[in-house]
Amino acid sequence: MKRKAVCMILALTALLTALSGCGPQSVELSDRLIVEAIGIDKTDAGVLVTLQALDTHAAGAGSDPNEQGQVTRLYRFSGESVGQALSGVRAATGLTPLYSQARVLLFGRSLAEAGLAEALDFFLRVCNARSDILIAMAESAAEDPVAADFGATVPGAVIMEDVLNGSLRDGMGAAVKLYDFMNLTYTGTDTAFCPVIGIREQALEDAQKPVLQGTAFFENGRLAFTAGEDLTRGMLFLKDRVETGAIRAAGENGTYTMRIISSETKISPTLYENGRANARIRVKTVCDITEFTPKDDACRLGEAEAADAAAAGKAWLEALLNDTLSVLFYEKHADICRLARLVNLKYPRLAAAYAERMFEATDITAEVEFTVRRTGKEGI
Amino acid sequence: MRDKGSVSAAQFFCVLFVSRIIALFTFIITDAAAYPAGDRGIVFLPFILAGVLCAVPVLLVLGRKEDRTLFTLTERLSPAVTKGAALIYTAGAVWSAAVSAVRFELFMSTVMYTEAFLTPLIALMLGAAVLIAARGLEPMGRMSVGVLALIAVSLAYVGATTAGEFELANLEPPLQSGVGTLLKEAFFAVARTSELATMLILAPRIHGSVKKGYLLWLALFGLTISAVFTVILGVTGAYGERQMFQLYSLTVLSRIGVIERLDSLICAIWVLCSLTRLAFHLYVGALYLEKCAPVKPGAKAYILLSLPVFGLYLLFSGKIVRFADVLRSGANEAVFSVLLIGIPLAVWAAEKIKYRKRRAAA
Repeated sequence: MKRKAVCMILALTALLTALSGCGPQSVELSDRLIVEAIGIDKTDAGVLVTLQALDTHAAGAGSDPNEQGQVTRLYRFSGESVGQALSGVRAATGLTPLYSQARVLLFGRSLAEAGLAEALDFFLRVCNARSDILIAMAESAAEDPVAADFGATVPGAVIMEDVLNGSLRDGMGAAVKLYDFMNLTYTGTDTAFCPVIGIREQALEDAQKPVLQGTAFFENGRLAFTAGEDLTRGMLFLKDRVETGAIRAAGENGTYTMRIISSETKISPTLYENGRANARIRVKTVCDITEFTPKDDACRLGEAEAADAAAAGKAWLEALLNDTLSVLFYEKHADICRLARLVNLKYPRLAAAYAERMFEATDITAEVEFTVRRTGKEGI
Repeated sequence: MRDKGSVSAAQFFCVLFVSRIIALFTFIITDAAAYPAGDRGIVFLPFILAGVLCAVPVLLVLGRKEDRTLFTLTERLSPAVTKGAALIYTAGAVWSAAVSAVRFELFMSTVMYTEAFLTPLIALMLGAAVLIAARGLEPMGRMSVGVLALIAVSLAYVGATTAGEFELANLEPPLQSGVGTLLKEAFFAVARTSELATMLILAPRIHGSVKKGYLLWLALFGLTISAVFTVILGVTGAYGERQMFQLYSLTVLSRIGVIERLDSLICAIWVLCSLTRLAFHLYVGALYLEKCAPVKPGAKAYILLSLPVFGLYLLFSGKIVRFADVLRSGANEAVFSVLLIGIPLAVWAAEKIKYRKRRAAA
């Protein structure tokens, strides 16, 4: 009994030490540098890392931003590598950086041209970074959008995150996460891509706004080429990543603006004995008419117009897909449909030989099934 | 009330499942060529086959009524054999517990507390494992049922929330390195299940059919391995292949709406798994120790065993290269082969020969 009591006292004493929370090793929230956006640029000496971090005092004060009118602060660090540059954060700020809250990771065009692998590796290894952070290439220097004044009392990173995420919803930009980008880089046959983000002056306000400038494509971790809005959109359809968005197509009875309700893409490759492949791409898109401009004023929106809109939408989408395939696949040799991977899965023994001459040995047929489900609020 | 040293077959295999699954969660690919990504989706088939084959010596020892232990046979041979075998099995239990502790520390210091000094945490865990082991097998079984339910919920959550990111093109075709590699992979997977050797001493304490339970366990665990690896590969693809702890990389991506980064909560469940594994090895180790110790150590056996476990852990702690070399060297497979195949088969054969000789002499 006596022994039990001694054991109990010892156990409780040990428990007391475990309950304590404040020690020299623990990091309080106020000791943290909460990073919101990261920009990496190539310099002659290595890299310049720009951090947009939450000004915890200003942010905590609710509607009272700091003297610069912002809730964030900017920090710039240089080094031969990203890891080396960021190793100076604590010494310069007195705060421990927390990367897991970061919303966007941007890199400059010069760094993209030189190769991203080394710069991105840091964010894949450091334990408090997140692998699902949104990444994008800056139109010129990554420092510019990270340091830009968007004229809002929310961090600029939040606005950029909204633009990147919203781009996918609008079917206008190819938002991509870090792990997915690295996956496409590592496979060897895929073409990695990410959106290009730039900044423009707001017309009526003394502030800037982030804008998407198409998509950047990479080969072996280096920037290969960039593509504009239309090709980006076509690629999103081909990659089955369109969630919603608007389509404007001209039919026989007038011009229709349609909202995408759903879109689904299926790709099935067939490899023949002669080494040629046929990839059948089927896109099923369902839309709702939101605007209609008839050719003659008397035209009402009825079943005939719905059929006309579907035909116009189908023609528009087929043209978009064919243009995209023609430029990105055949001309630029970007395997945006991941055909080499799909062939590898279906014909593993023939895949390596096929991958070598994929762009010359593939016929792609894009089929579109376009349905107009509703004609706005009136219905049909 | 049931004896706390005995357990139902379902509870026993729950303990085994929880104890084994932490090795899957903290699995590190030390040799990518030995574990082709495409094979992992179908590894359950050879896993079941290899599991059945590897268990044959154990089942021979247990006999038809499953009421014998390895030591029932060794005692018929000689007391020295009993002591020798018990000593080897005790060392095996200590080795498995130490490897679990090192692996767990490596996991925690990689994903949660980078470069932190985690030795006090491991010491605390060992202390807790001693307490759990001292409570007996039945409470451990009940605890495992709860932990297993938490594991099931957490895996379902991770699977459901990352399903939208699953891409067929991320998968790899199976059997690219041939059937031999797949079979080798299946053997490695079974060999990481050192817990199976515990049936050699615990079978009489298990209520219900050990054979049926074992087959069901093999099937369920094999399917779990295949499902988990297929989802990891389908979602993270080549990126996941380059991550040290693949399942953890997947949990980081899981989110529903504004609820994200539940990996910390999931890791808490993994702590419970590690604790169960440590406690289970200490419990079984103490049973073996009882057979070879000159005096019965009683409850002190758990404390005694935790000391070499902690010593071995300290030897590898913070030395990932040395630890990876040990894993790559096939030490685990060797320990498994000796404990689950070599000794049971040798003891069973020797006992049969002796029995036949005695019958012939009579």
